[in-house]
Amino acid sequence: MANPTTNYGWPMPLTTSLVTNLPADFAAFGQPVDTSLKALNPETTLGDIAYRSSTSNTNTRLGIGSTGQVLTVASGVPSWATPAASGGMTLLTTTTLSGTSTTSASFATTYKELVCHFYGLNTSASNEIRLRVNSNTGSNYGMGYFSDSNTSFTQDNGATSLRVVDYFATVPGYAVGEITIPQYANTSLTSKSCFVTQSNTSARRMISIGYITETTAISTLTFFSTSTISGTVLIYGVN
Amino acid sequence: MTKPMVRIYTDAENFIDREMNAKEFSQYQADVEIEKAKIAEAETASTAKAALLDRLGLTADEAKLLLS
Repeated sequence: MANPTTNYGWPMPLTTSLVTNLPADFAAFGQPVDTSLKALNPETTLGDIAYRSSTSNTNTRLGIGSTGQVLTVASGVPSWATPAASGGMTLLTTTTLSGTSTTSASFATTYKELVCHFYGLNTSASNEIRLRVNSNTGSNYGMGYFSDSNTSFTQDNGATSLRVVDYFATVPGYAVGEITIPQYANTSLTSKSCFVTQSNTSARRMISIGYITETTAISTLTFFSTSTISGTVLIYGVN
Repeated sequence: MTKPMVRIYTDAENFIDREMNAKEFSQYQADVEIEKAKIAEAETASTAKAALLDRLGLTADEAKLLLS
């Protein structure tokens, strides 16, 4: 026995080998072939995959991961891992406005940002619609805004609420817009920012940058006016 | 006297509609006063602006053109 194969060194019978030695020769040849194939195909179970190990001609078995896991690399080798949470929006609660004030259901405080979409907001008289958080009625709100009814940059600091819908010049009028509160659940912030964009059918548009002095995580929103309100508010958590 | 109604969601599906309690009504009255004050302030500013334009002999559109 000599004449080894180039890549795997399997000992093969020579052309001059005796026929009487062939069974022993094939045994000496076949066993290392079997060992090599197993080293290259270590999979044992449905879904297994193999990758090259640090030893040549020897692969490592990687068992299938769990549902939802993705193939990644850790310490220089492949592995299955659960992907980080995506940046999607999760609808936390839907609020239908009624009366002169509507307070949302308490929502989760586990997201990075609160995004609030509102549409069809209306008042029964020509009033604005305002916002409070956590039923906080103190002078803890302030905003600077441009709007069609305040054409220059207007400040409203030390207020007891934030304006989210400009006055309707005529009623019924319907407003649509968005409120964003980054870090709404961060209790180490003494003041949180609040951004509002809004337009309504009275051609009254408003962009505002506000603050809310509230250290507690924000878990409810209250929309109110001095006349009866209606419309829909969708509250989302964003990661 | 009937007080304004409020809606309070107890969870994502359910809510209570009821009249304002005393504390809420007190806050409502304060909010009404704040809004009245703002409207009065806006009206005062608007009247003062109109009076100034009148003294200058300009229309609002002319003033806007001048400031543009």
